[in-house]
Amino acid sequence: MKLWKRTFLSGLTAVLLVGSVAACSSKTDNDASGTKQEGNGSTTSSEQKVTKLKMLGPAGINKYIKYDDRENYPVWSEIDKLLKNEGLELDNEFVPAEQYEVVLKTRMASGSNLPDIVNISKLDNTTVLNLAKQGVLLDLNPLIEKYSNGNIKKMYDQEFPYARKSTTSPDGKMYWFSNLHKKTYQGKDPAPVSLTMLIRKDWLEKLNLPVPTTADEYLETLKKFRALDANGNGKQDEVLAYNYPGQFTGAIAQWFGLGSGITAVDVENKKIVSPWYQEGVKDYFRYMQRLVKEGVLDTSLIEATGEQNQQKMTDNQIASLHDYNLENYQEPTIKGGGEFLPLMPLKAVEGITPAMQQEPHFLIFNKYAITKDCKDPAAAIKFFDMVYSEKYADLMFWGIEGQTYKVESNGAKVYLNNGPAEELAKTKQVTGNMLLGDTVFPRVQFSNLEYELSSAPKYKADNELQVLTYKPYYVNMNNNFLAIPDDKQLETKTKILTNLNTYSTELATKLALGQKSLDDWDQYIAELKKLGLDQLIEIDQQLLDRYNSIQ
Amino acid sequence: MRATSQPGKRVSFRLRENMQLYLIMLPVLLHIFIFSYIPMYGIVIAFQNYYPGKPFFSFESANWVGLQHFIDFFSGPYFGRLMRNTFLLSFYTLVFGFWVPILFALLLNELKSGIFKKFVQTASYLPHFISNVVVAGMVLSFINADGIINAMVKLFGGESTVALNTEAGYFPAIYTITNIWKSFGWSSILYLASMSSVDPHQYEAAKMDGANRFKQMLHITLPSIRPTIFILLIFAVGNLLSANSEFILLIYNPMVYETADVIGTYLYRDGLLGGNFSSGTAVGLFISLINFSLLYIANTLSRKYSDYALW
Amino acid sequence: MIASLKRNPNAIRQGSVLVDVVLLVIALIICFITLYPFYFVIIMSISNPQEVAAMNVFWFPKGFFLGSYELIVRDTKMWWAYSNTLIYVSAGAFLNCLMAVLGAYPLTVRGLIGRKWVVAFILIPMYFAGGLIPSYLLVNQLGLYNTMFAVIIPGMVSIWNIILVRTFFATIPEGLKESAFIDGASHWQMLFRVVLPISKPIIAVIAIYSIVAIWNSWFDALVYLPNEKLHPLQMYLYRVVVQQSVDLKTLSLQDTRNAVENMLSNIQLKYAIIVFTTLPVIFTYPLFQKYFIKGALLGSLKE
Repeated sequence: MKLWKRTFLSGLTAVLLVGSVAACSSKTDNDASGTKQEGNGSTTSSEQKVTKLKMLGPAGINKYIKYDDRENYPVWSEIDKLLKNEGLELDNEFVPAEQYEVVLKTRMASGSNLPDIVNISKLDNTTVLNLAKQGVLLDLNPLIEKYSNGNIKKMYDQEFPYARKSTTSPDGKMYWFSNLHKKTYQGKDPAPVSLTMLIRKDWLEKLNLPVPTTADEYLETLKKFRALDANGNGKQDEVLAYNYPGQFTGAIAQWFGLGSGITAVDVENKKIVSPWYQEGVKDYFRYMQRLVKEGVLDTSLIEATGEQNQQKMTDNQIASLHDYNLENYQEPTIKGGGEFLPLMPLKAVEGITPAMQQEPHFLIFNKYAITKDCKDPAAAIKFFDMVYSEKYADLMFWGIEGQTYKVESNGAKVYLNNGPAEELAKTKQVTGNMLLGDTVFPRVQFSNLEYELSSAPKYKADNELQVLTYKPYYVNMNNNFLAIPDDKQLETKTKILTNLNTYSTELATKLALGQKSLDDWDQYIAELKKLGLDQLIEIDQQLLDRYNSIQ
Repeated sequence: MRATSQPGKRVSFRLRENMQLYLIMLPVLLHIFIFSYIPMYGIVIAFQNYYPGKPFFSFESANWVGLQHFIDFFSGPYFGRLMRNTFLLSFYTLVFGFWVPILFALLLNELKSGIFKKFVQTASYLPHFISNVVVAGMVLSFINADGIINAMVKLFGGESTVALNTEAGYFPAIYTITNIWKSFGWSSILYLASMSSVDPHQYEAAKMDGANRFKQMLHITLPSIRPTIFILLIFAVGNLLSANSEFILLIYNPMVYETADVIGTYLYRDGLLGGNFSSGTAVGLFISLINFSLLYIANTLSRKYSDYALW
Repeated sequence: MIASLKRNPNAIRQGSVLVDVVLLVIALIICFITLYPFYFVIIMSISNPQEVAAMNVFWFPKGFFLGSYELIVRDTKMWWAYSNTLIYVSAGAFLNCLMAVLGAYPLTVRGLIGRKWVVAFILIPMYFAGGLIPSYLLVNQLGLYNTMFAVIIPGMVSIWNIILVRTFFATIPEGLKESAFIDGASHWQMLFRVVLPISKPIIAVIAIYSIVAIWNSWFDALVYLPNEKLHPLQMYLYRVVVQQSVDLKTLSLQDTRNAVENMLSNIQLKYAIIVFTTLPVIFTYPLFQKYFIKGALLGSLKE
């Protein structure tokens, strides 16, 4: 018995000991990228000391182009050169993407095992601000003032003025750097793309039908697709895939002038709107009910997963759907092939100009922060100075001239090959983003419309040119136009949102399907008010106002 | 019990015996203490406004909010519906599903031994291995407007072209049937193991008495698994407020919220907005309290009426 | 009634045949509805990817395509994961059985002082847990973070298993133990020499349950093992599933393209991975089944 006890105890000790040893040793398996280039006599001067930065981020998810093989990719040696120029060496800890959120949350919460620079995109703003309050994350503004060579400021203030608006916290500080993206046309014009209804172009042609120009014609066309068996499989199974009738996020809602969410930003008028209070809302529901009654809208696809949609798409059943006007990924998956024609917003009600849903030409997303454990903030800032340089931006988004892109005669950059990742992994002709993007390497993207247009069929390109100047519009990511809420605003918002969203989505879905009657409208509105709709609009208006006021 | 013959030594003997028993249990108790009890302090965040990075115990910065999160949940507009759905879905699974593995185990027990029996048994628990995502995908394609279920309805002259996942009324049945199908074979393993402890002489003796197979099953096999049945039943009652929200998330939609939205799915949507650590913990704590009370009641009743109990 | 049956034993036997046939038919139906999904997964994993995406495959594979398997087999990480899982399963199953037995036996001894409290002590953690972050802090402080032990040690006690074993132990006739104690056996000897040998069925059940549970588990690895080289097999499936559920609504045009490409290539991969990750573990049951045969108990008694 005693013997047993002793064995157990010593076993436990051994286990714990081995455990701690392994815990220490497992941290060091990241290699420093080769020292081969020392002899090249590049700008790496011998007296410049090399600083190691510990980085933590998610690993890329591409199955073919892997960070571990980076030494084989020309774009890596270019970026590596930039790092060496700054005297930096990265000690990257990449965690598999699907588990990154949990690893990040637990580590940040415990404040232990912190790196110098960390990708905190998976944390919501509140959590980040609380971490900052606890001193886990550093305020970047004083660091930039003190150490930056000016790149950061130049990029943020001149090229991406909206970046500060969405990353400045209520106390006026800035806790994270972001991916910066903008898309222009002819070198200067902002180039938004649209989210719209697409309709099968080849079916229209096959059945000799005109392109619908009103909502009513659209419905008639979809009915005819079914009646005339557009896909020719002998079944009436040509459907409209419209996943979110209850969230107002599909383009049909905007035809009725509705905002693109329970609260939505009207960017031009600097106003928050809610579809529930807008003029066309009842007509929208009546129209949806007609689509359902005619059997055109596939109700089993409401709030469905991508895979369920894909099933119908591949099976050649989807007559129309909501997606990007310049999408090019649906067509190749259709069995037997097909073409989708993007529609401009269709007139639905007398007196209401149909609105468009657009993706703005600029996006500020993801978060990269410097932690309290960073011993050399100067080096960390050096890293971000490198990130916000034009050379780096080019390497990440465009890659290497002559290999991944070329410059057209009009000065616009255009990608050379758009093959699948599997092929690119063989030729090694990839951009920085494909190999490194969103891990610990922020993306800075000077995108252009020219390359999109050059790879799109003419009917899509024509649509896009109309989109550039179309008004009125709502945006697909309303939150991008709201400043970060302060504690009180956030508390009220979280308290309201789950119940309000549940009620609104459920009600709107049922109204759209005709499972609830429009006769009880006043009662619905009363309930929405009770759940805090007006309060939410008020807070979002404050956030929009503050967003617009930040310089 | 055994030491009755020597009353004087009885106490010390019992003490020594108990020492021995506790020593046997020591590793288990120690493990439970370290890995289950020590982290339990995390429950305090149910009474705070906690965010990762905040210390759990702090007098200056932690916002102690008392029972606020509980009150918010109770007074929320969906409290009644969430409780009802969570309870009903587990209740249906208990009522319609609990006896299935028992019946199945009895059936298997009656099959002549051999390859076929092994085969049936192995086949029966295969659904347990198929991940929720795949099961959900299959279920959704079956109940689709043009899916197998509707095709069968039409075959029998019915008129149905609705996708079943758009009608709230069908959801509980879909959920319950899928759940039973997924787990009955797996659960029957335990009953089969208990049945194997029956002395074959008993069956022989019963046969001599002329008991037919049904009688043998009723009077010999079934009693042999009674303790197992009762213990599992007690735990099933103690789980009446825990529906499989992981699976529900995959097959529900706003049209069936009325019958499908359970506490777990509601908390999931709550969590998407971020910063729900505290309210989620509070709701979880409330559910645990109820479940634990149910377990306690079930155990007390069982001890009173059947002699089988956990303690 | 029994008496009347006694007079006509042939009736029973004839009835028996009919009963056998009925039972057989029922068993066949059950077989079909439970085998089908796995069959479905297999044919999906080898059909033409386009047919798989269209969910057109129901009875027979359509087309033939092994690309998904090729991708899995060629991935060295997968083989790492396989060997890791073997380590986790063998260590975990052994420890689970041991701990379940050690935890259960004392609870069945009459005269255990404070049994009620011990049972309560064991049951409470089934319902109340402190959450992710305190557990992480503990594992981190014990130095287990990012080591294999982070998965093995916290998972080595299953309260549910203890209850099951206890329930089984309770059915062992008292008389059996009495006779051993008269021979002067201690509780240790009692447990390992008398109780365990006749408890093979329940040990087999615990072994199966733990093997399968550990084989299918991924959450501990998700939290405690950022190092991919230590990942178990199920993290593979988890990865594919998570990538599939990316919310396309929140992505920009460019990111949507990449996500869709990923989703498409994952649709079939998912089925292949399920086949690959479940096939071996399915055979654990037949392996242990011999302990379930009627009379296992009696056999050990005679030893």
